[in-house]
Amino acid sequence: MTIQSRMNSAIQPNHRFSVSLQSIFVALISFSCLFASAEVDKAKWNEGKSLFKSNCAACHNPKVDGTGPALQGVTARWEAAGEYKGKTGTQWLYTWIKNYNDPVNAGYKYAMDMANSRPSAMNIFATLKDADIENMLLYIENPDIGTPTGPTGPTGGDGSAPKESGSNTTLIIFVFFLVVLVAILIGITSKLDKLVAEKNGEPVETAKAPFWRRPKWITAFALIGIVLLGYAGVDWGTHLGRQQGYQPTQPIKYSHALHAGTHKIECQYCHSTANKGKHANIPSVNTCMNCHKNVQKGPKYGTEEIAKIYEAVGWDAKTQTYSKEPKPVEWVRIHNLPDHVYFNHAQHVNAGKVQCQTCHGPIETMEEVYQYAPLSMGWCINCHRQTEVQFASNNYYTAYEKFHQDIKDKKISKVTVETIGGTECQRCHY
Amino acid sequence: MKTYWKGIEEKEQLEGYTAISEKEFSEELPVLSSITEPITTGKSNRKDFLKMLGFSTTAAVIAASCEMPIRKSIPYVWRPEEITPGIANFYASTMWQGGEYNAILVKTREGRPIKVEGKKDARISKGGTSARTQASVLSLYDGARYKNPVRNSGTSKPENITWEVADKEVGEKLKAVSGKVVLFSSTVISPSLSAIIKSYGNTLGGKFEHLVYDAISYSGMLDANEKSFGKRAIPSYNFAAAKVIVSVGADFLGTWLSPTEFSADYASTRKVKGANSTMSRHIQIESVPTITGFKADTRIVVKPSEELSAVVDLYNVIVGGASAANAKVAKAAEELIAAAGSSLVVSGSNDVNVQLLVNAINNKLGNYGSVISWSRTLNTKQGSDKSITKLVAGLNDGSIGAVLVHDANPVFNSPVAGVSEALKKAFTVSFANRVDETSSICNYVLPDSHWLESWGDVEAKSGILNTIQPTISKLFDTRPLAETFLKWSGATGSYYEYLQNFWQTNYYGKQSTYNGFWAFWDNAVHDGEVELPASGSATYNTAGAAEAVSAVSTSAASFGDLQVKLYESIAVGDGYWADNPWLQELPDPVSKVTWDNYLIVSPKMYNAGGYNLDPHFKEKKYATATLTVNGKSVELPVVAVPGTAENTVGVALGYGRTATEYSELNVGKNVFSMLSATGDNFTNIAKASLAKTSNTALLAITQTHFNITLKDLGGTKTRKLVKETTLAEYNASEAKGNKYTAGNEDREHIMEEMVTLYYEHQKPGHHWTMVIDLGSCTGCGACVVACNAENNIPVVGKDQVIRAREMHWLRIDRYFTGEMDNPDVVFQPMLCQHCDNAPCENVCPVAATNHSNEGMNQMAYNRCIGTRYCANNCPYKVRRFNWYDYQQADAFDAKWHTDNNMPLSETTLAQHEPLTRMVLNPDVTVRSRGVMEKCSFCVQRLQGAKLEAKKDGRKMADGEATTACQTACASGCITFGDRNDKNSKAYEAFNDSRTFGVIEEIHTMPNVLYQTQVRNRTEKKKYENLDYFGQQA
Repeated sequence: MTIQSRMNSAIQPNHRFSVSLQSIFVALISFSCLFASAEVDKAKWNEGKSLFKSNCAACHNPKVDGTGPALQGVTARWEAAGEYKGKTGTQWLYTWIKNYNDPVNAGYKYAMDMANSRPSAMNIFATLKDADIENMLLYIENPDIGTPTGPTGPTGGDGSAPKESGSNTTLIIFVFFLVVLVAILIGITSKLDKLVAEKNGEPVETAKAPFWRRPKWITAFALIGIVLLGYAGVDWGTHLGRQQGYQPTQPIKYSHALHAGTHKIECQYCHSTANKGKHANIPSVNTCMNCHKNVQKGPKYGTEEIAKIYEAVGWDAKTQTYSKEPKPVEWVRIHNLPDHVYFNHAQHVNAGKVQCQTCHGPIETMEEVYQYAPLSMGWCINCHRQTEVQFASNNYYTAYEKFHQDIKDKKISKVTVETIGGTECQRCHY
Repeated sequence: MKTYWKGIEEKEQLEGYTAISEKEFSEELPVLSSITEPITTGKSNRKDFLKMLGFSTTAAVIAASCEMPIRKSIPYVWRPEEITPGIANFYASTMWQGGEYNAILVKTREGRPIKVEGKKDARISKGGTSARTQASVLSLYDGARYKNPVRNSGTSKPENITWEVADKEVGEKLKAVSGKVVLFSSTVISPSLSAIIKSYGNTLGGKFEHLVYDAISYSGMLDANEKSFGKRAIPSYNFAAAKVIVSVGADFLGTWLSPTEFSADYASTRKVKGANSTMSRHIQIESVPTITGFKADTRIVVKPSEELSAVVDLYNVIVGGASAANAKVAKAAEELIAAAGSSLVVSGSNDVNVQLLVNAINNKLGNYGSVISWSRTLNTKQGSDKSITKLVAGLNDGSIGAVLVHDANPVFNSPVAGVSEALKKAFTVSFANRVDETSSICNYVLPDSHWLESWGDVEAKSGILNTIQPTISKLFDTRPLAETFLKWSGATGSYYEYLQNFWQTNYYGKQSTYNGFWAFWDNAVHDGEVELPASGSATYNTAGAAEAVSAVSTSAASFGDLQVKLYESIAVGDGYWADNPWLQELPDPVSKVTWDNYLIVSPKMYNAGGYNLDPHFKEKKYATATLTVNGKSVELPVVAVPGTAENTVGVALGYGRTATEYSELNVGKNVFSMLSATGDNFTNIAKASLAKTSNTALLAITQTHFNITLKDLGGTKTRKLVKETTLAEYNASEAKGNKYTAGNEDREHIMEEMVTLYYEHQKPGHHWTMVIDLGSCTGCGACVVACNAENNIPVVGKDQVIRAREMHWLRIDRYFTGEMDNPDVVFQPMLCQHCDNAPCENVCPVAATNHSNEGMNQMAYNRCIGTRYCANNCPYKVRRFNWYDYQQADAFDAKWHTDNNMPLSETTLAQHEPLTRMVLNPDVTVRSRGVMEKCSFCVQRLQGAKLEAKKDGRKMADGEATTACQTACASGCITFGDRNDKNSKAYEAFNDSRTFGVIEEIHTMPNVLYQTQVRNRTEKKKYENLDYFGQQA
């Protein structure tokens, strides 16, 4: 019974009365658990968890064997291995974690056995302090004390994206105003016509056709119709080929909300070429295996989706070998640009220091990815007009002597992408 | 009459020429008659217009409202460490194909070679490339490649077989063969392959013989060197060390021996800068014009037979101390004597006696050791003409039982008749990787892998070793030849392992740079080149020289009045390259003809012989004539080229390939059979007869395409398009021949007219500028093909070239000046001038072409609506219009073009094939039908270089941003860079006294500039004191 479930039962008051005995029993057990884990220092545990995730989780899981052994109970096991050269088993464990070679070289038998038990050697973590290890062990021994985590802020950036400046409303109001104006003017002229006719003593039509059959009105409506239809047609035409909101079903139910949101994995851990080249790169399956060799079960779909990774990469979980035929994953491409557009991720991520969320939206909350931005030219250009380049910090821009002088002379306050020519055709079309 | 003219049409201002020059397109636009005919005729009316409008709108709506296709994005399962999608990798390798050697870097994208670049630190090719090298990458994706081993029983269709079956059957048959087993190949310069061939030969015992034959033969030179130096080899020539160069019919900048290397060396002596500049002096004695002759300071025009007597004359004056028959040659001899020790005489003849005399002359002048060196021999030509004679004789008398053919095509390019019939008598195996005339009659074809797919090594000069490394997995079920022979000799292990062992045994010990073989090997592969200490030497002996004098004199007298000279074309070589569309569409630098060979005659002979069917240049039809040499005849169109000797006919070898994948690659006629036996060797000059036929032919000549006409450009004192001066004049006043510097009358006149209504474009960051040195441009065309490869420029085919629709962004204008019989020539690469005040920009109704703040004239294809106003308004005529969807950028696929009877050739439509499209550069848009395009200054490369600097957070270094044409150039005539950077080479070149802009007087303010050609001579200049209109200035 975990704290989580205990809290769940606590906040469902109706249940308290309906299943009294059972709930008392549950409450008792829960209480004992609470008592046991009450000693766990939450701050230390959190610290330990994050250290574990960043340093150890690639190979170790507290409960499951992976590249490295399951770690729960590790303190007890080392302690049980006994004292050697005046150090307790636990002290040796600390030495081992920092540099596994030390206890091996010292001749500590349990360490030597451990070193031989796995084909791959452990990494060396010389920078870890004893306090860090203590915190990590706290987490390892009590991995299930969950701290409720919601999808919080990602690894940086406020995720505000420039929107395509829409002037639709203004235009509609304007057109409406024009229509009203035309109607009023027609009314006035017909009135005046009538008055003039009356004054001149000409016969005035009394029985009038309904207004929708009068030529003037028909003309007016036709004109309005042409304007509105034309506008709609052009607007529809320019949106052809755009896929804002496009959210296709992917072959693997990969959740950015879980990876980037909950676990706060750096975007570029997987999309590793985003700061190097044109493509951000959908990670090759071997990247997934860095973690998923160990993480064999997901919180939502269990083993089902992770099994698809294994299938793609040809991993045999039983023998722990890549012995099967690999089958590449056929992801559906969401962000499509036409052939005549050249877009380079490195230019934006590396040189421009633009946050991923600026174009991809709140990716860390997306269970399934959708196209956040319109990816229209207007949207691109707008951002180029507003965004400043890394003018002072990147030495490349020393070539722009004039602008440096202008800034010094306070002629200009900032250098945007547009200032250095970022809205010219041949920056993106060649 | 003009002082500078692109051809006779322009010189004489023929009616047809002026008509097309004034128009943007050489033919009427193919517009529907219902639109062009006036409404008053009653044939078309407003209703038709509305119908068409309605139809096109509906069509556009239907086309646009199609659902967006679902695109897949499939990542690697295991991403290779060195591959970052979107970033090109460069691998050092070496091209050795069709007799062409080049140390290169192969540019690959996602594991796909798309371009080759010269390796800047290459010891032999010195960073340059040739047109053939640039085009070689296309052959990797050639549909004509064999996709697996083939058994050809001769009666039925060739069958595809597996390698197991092939090895078994061929092995058994070779064992059973009674006569000799002959490996017939062109020169093999791979040391490891040579060793493998040797050991394979040993397994067959005395039965095996390796015959080496080069279709473009240097056999006479090799034989002569054997007599003179006891070595059947070719020494190294250092054109950079030669102060006086006399070349008798040797096109050393275009085709002779090692043109890429020679161009670099030669150019290094031709770039003058500052006072007291020196230059080499180059005298060319030749009959049929070559680019080398056109670059010469003095060009002496002689008949082909007189090329022989010229060598005798030189010998008589220099070695014999006697007098010369030809006074001009005598003068050349005197200049050579004056520069003894640092002069050079070369001859393109394959006559052993001529080469013996050349050896004697160079020896007497003391050029061995200084300009010519035996310390390293040039190994690229080792063939013997006896090989082909032996082969045919052996096959006919039955002593040869089996022939293995490697890198040779004797059925096509043998001077001896009956090769095809003879080969059919024996068991034959070809290792060709593409279909050729020989492989198509061989019993088995065991396709060799393409060089871009294979490991290998090359020793082009003794002691300079190059590695070849694979840059792509094998596309088809092919096997490298070395692997085949290893297998047949019973060796285990791959060729790769053999190669490493071979290098460890033979080369590792000879160097001291690397400790440990793997360090040595890894660096060798990484650098692509290893230099071992030079060790060769040779001593001259006069054997045979005296006899050679009389032999050559007798020979020279035997040719009669009308003579033919067969020459190697820059594009197709011995025919190996004739199946490469990029090279077929490359205009010949001398004649500007594409997609054909033809008979070159002098303009005088052209008129006198009645070949001038089209005196007003309106029909553009060419008369054909039958050329008969030694009883063999071919009928070819006749073309007049100024500077050709009288009573001389020039014909290019290598055309007339019949077994090509696409019929239109079978162009021209094969004239290899006209090579005539001289001693053991075959020479390229012969007595001939010529008879005009009543037939006419269409030739795709680009000579009159895209003319810069100044007629309506305004301005009063128009200057010349190209500028020349002499060294003496230049040294006296650097601005001579150019008049660019301030304070100069001419320049001031330009400045006066520099008044504009337009605001000046600011260039706050970079200001890209290109300066092209006319003095060192040889017109070889490497840049044109490099541009094709870099910028996805389509091949349009012969029919489209005839309509002046070639798409090349970069053309090389060739201007003649002076007399028709021996004019001076200047080559001028003409590309978008990126005018700061561009006439094209302000006529575009949709602003699809406009100016960047880096000084570039930008072209946005997706905005272009195809009005072609810009092309019409461009004074330099550098804009190209996509009349068709040549490379399937859009929905117009190959089938659409054929279904709608579009006049596109198979070669052009082959560019729609997925295999051929693999060569496309993914960073450059494939242009669709109906849009304009032009040189972009390789903007994708500039943007790439800028991004690298931004990523590193540093200022861009000079020379970091390069264009494809610049890197391709062997003579380094193109300087490119940021003019805003005061320390850049471009800034320096821009401010050089030789620099000028073409028609800058019309205030276009071009960012591509040119440098005056300087010639080292004292003779009267042919261009002196005449302005563009031929008026006395």
